[in-house]
Amino acid sequence: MTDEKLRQALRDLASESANAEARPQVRTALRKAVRARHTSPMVWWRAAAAAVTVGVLAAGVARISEWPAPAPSQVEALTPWYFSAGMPPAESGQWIRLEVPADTAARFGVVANGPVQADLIIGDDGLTRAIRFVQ
Amino acid sequence: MVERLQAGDERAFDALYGRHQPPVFRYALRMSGSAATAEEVVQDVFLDLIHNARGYDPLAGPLRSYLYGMARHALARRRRGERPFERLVDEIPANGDEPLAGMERGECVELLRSALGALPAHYREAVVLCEMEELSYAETAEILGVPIGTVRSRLSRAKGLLFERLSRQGVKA
Repeated sequence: MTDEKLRQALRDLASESANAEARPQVRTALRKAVRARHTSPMVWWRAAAAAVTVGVLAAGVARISEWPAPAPSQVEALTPWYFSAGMPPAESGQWIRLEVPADTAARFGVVANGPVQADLIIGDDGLTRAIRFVQ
Repeated sequence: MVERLQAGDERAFDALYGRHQPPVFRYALRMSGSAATAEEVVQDVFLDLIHNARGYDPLAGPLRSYLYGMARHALARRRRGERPFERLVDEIPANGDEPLAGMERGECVELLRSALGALPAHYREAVVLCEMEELSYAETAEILGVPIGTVRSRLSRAKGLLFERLSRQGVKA
C-alpha cells in the first residue's frame, strides 16, 4: 500500500462523516445554558447586593425588634429597594425591624442625629424588596 | 462574539455553534468512533465556552484551535482508564506476495477504520487532524501544543503503524 493510497483511504473514511453533526437536542440543551447565563448574573447580583446591604445595616444594629411591624401611622412611606426593579413580585415575605446608623439612613435621604429605626421588607426568596423608616 | 455569548446572547451562540459545532463533533467522532461520545464532547466544549471556564484569550490563537484543544482534553478525560475505543478486527494472516484479490474500496476503508482506532491516541489525533480534518501542520501543532516537527514525526509514525497493520491484514498496493 502506498502513501497516496493510504491518504485516499483516509479521505474516503473522512467523507463518511463529512456531514456528521450533533443532534438538535444538544443545541437545545446548550441554548438553555446560554439563557441561564443571561439571567443568572442579574439574579446573583441582586441577591449579593441585598445581602451586602443587609450586612451593612446589621453592622450598625443595636437590636432587631420583635415582629410584627408597627402600625403604618408610625412609619414613612415604603421606599423600593435599589435592585427591586424587574424582580418578580413577592407574594409573601417578612418585615424585619432594624436600627440603622445615621450615615446609612442618610443614603436614603433620611437625616437624623442618631440611629433610626427602619423596617426591611424581605420576600420569601430572600431578596429585599423595600425599606421604610420609622418616624 | 465570544464575549456576547458569555453575556447570554443567544444569537451569538447560534452563530458560534453553527460554525464550530460540526468540526468539533466530527473530530470527536473520528477520534472516539462513537457519536454519543462526540455529542458529550460537544456539550463539554460549548459549556466551557459559555461559562468561560478555561478563559479563552483571542490573542492566544484562533477560536477554532481553542475549541479543538478543548475537545481534545474532553476526549482525554474520557479515555483515562479506558481501553482503546475499538478493537482491531481479527487480523488476517499475511498472504505472501499475493495481494488480497478483489478487495473492495469499502472493505479497505473498514480495515482502515479499525486500524486507526487501534492507534495510540497521540498518533491517531495527528492522522485525524492532518489527514481527515485537513488542518495544516502549524494549526495541528498549535492544537496539540507540540512543535511542528513533532506533528510530522507523529504523522509519519502513525502512517507506518497503519501500513503495518493493514499489510498484516492483506491490504497491498
